[in-house]
Amino acid sequence: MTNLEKYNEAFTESFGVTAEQLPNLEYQGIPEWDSVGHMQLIAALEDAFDIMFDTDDIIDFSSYEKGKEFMSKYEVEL
Amino acid sequence: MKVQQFTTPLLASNMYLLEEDRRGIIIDPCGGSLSGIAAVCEGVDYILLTHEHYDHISGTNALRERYDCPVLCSEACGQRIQSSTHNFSRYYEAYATVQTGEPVPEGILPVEEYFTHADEVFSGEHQLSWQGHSLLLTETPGHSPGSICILVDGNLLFSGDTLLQGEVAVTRFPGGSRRQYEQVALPYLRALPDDTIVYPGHYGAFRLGEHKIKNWRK
Repeated sequence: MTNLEKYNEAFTESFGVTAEQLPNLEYQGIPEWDSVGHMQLIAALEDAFDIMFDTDDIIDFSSYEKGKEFMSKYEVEL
Repeated sequence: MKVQQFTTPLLASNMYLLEEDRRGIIIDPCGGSLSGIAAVCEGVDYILLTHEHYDHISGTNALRERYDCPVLCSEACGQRIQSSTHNFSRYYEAYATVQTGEPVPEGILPVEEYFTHADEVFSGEHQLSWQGHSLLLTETPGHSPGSICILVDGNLLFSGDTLLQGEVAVTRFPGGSRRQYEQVALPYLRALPDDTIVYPGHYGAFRLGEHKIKNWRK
């Protein structure tokens, strides 16, 4: 599985969405991505890539696309 | 027996102090002050944790040190409170910020990561006798793996986050399980009498029979 597939899987499994829905997905854009869902997503990404997000990055991880930028900070190339 | 409730300013988590004859039991040490407890009790005999999340355990170390009393919780809770990832203290500021939509005010978060440990753990059920009262601790996983409910004298339920007024438990946090909630926690709650007084982990107390949740009690 590629890093992008693992990244996508964290979203699809956390929120029950399809891969086609991912490009425009934003925090609070769907009911499942609320504050609780946000922590689900963060935990799934940390598990998938064996990383630990900084607090500020967890707070600013506001969309599927924005999250991609953060992943490179943790040396995860998508 | 008197029940005193202390509520934290952030996320409105409840700590309860049970007092009888100037002795106390603390449930979910997360709010209140040492002086506030000392005004009511000469000593504390137990600290009980309803589950492992940081907003319910943040005062555990300080109160154990002050009162030299054992911390008791489920085995799963006892394991998870030792990890800042599993007790969520590492995520607490971020969660509170995204949940409230505002930065956490300075001074509310004393630490970024928090660890503690239990002195006694149990699986399934555990019975305590204290100052003439009976406490039945029962594992009710779902909101978290380490969740329990505490039934005092058969009619006072300290439910942690397993039951909040008007809501079934949130089971989407990492480690939570809707299946476990439906298979273990819900049958336990459904079996309780309607006149049970519920002291939840957030917000105010309520009578179980008057609760919206009676819709799923049938």
